[in-house]
Amino acid sequence: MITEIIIRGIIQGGSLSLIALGLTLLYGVSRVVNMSHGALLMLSVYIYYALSTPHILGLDPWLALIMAILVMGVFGAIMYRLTIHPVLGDDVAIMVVTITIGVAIQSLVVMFFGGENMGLISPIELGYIEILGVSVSWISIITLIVSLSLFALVALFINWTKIGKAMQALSQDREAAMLMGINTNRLYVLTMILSVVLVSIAGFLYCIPVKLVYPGLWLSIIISAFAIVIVGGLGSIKGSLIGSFIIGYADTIVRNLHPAAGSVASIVPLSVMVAVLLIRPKGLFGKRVEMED
Amino acid sequence: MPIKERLADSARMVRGYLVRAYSNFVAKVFDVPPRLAAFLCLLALLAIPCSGDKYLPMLTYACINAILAASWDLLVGRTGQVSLGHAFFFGTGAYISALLIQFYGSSITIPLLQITIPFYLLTIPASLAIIVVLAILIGLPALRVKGPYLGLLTLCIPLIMSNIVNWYVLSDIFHGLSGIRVPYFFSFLRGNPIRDTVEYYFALTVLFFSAVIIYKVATSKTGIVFVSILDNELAAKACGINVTRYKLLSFAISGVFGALSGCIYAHLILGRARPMLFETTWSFLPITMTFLGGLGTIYGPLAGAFIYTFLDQYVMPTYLEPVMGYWGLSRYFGMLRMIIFALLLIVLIIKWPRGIARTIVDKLDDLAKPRDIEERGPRIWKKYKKEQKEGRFRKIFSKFKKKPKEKESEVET
Repeated sequence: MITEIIIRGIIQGGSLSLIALGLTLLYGVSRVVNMSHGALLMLSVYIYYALSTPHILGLDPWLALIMAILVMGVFGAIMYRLTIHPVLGDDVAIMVVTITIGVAIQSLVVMFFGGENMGLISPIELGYIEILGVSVSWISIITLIVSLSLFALVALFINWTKIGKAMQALSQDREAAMLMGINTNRLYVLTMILSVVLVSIAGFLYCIPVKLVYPGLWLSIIISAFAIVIVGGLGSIKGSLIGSFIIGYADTIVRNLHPAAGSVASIVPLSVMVAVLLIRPKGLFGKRVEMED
Repeated sequence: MPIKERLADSARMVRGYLVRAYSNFVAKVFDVPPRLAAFLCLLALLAIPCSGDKYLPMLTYACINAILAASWDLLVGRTGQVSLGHAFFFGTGAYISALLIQFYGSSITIPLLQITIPFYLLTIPASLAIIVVLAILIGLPALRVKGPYLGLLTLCIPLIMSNIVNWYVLSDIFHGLSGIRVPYFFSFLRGNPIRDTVEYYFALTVLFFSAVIIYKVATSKTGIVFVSILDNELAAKACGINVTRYKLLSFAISGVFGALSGCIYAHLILGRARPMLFETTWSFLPITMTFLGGLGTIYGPLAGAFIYTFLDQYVMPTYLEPVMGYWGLSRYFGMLRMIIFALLLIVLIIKWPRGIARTIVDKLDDLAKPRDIEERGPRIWKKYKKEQKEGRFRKIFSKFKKKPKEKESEVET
């Protein structure tokens, strides 16, 4: 029982962490709370579905994955320039605009693919492995490895490359970064593209193992993603990694403790989030409350 | 003749009251153009049932939406506390009333007077009172967080509620998806053609009183404190304002009116308290309406609610659906409607963040500002048309000229 909870919690946390990474990166750099994050994840999986399913386009699954990521990157850049950029700096407007985009994407998806569950094709078929008496699928181990390595890559990118350092500067002080000759607008778009690419990879890793995608996915995704990001502190990459494991474990423990949990298990991340916010209003690793606000 | 004298006396008194009421009306409504416009709109709304009642249910729905939107606007547009979960108040209000009715029966006999009254007359005030307590309980921790954190937190609260209500363990209490049956307000008029009209007037009355109360709150001293929190919380704190207390007050007032609209929606239209009331749609509806009308005014959300409901319930089904049906696309209609509204909202926020009603109200306010006597009145306008025109040109040209410095110094001294 305990070993099962430990192993399943790690896997759950790993698959959730990548979803939160793009969100926290975008908030950290451009102070945009992207409520359409879950919708972008869903859209990327649907694009993959359209590209790879034999009776629609029937491409090779690996090619479909890459093409879906490219399409999503372009879509993210266009979406950012058209909708988010004009209202940058206004928290309420950004939230309303992005959540409206989420609703629009959901309606679009239902319009083209219908509201039913859709089966996905997996590019690789792998079996199960027994770890300490718990049967775990290989693909979830791959998910864990990929998300952890992407975390490491993003951390390296932020800390070691020139663009990453520019992003850090931008997150600290926009005007000072502009004075240092950083093209902030281009950097914002770049961050958005990075965030969207990360979320589409997260979407594939989240949906392909269960081979299922449905239009209601985006709301459940956004809830767990925001729970993670808020527990860890908005804009903190370290925080989101730790937050995802906290949420993953809380979820797994409740699901394993009592079979009657059912739909109430889905409020566990929210309850954890509320509890953390009560103790620390800016999350575990969030910055202290600034005096200007 | 004492009777005649007394009659004359009372007639004088009545006349005095009427004159005072009239002059009050002129001073407080007629001379303030935005209020006059609102008054004319109210008259138009009162007169609508005379013209045929085919679309009355739509207007009833619009009134309920308007209460919800106005309550959201008080919290967000006035106090600046981002709430993306107004569905919590909407649903909880309805559910508390429904639960009370479920436990205590649909009618109640008052012990002393031996009169049987429908129980909803008591459950709705009770649910509003409970909502105040709930709003303070939730607000105390929730209002510690700020900005995006608060928005996300409030987004989650109705989702938690909807999960609890849907939980099969509690299905004996909440009855899961089908919800709890509640009595209709005017069920004794069943089958009567007058029922729609009565319901409409009832909703309009409730809307009128809620709007007046919200307007009074927003323009009172408390309302000014709310705006000071919106403008600069730190400065408000520095002025010795207990910010938390006023935030809680705003949360509670907003919650009461949200719950009121939820109660009326359940008792008037739906006939049930269902988990659907906690859906995210009910959180976005007031947002859309308020941005349509204009954030931070009382006119904005009301006008926005009516415009939105008109577009959503009348224009779309009458004009868009036949076109789509012609092309054989009618099953996509619901989705396309959502997409159109989403695009409309995005364009509005980006291009016209002030909204429709707020622009009009600003124009009207501009009219009310004191001007020179020559500019007023149609007769004088005709007489001085020429001079005025020249004056206008002079104004335009004066932008290109530099003002002499002596005048400025005169103004200063």
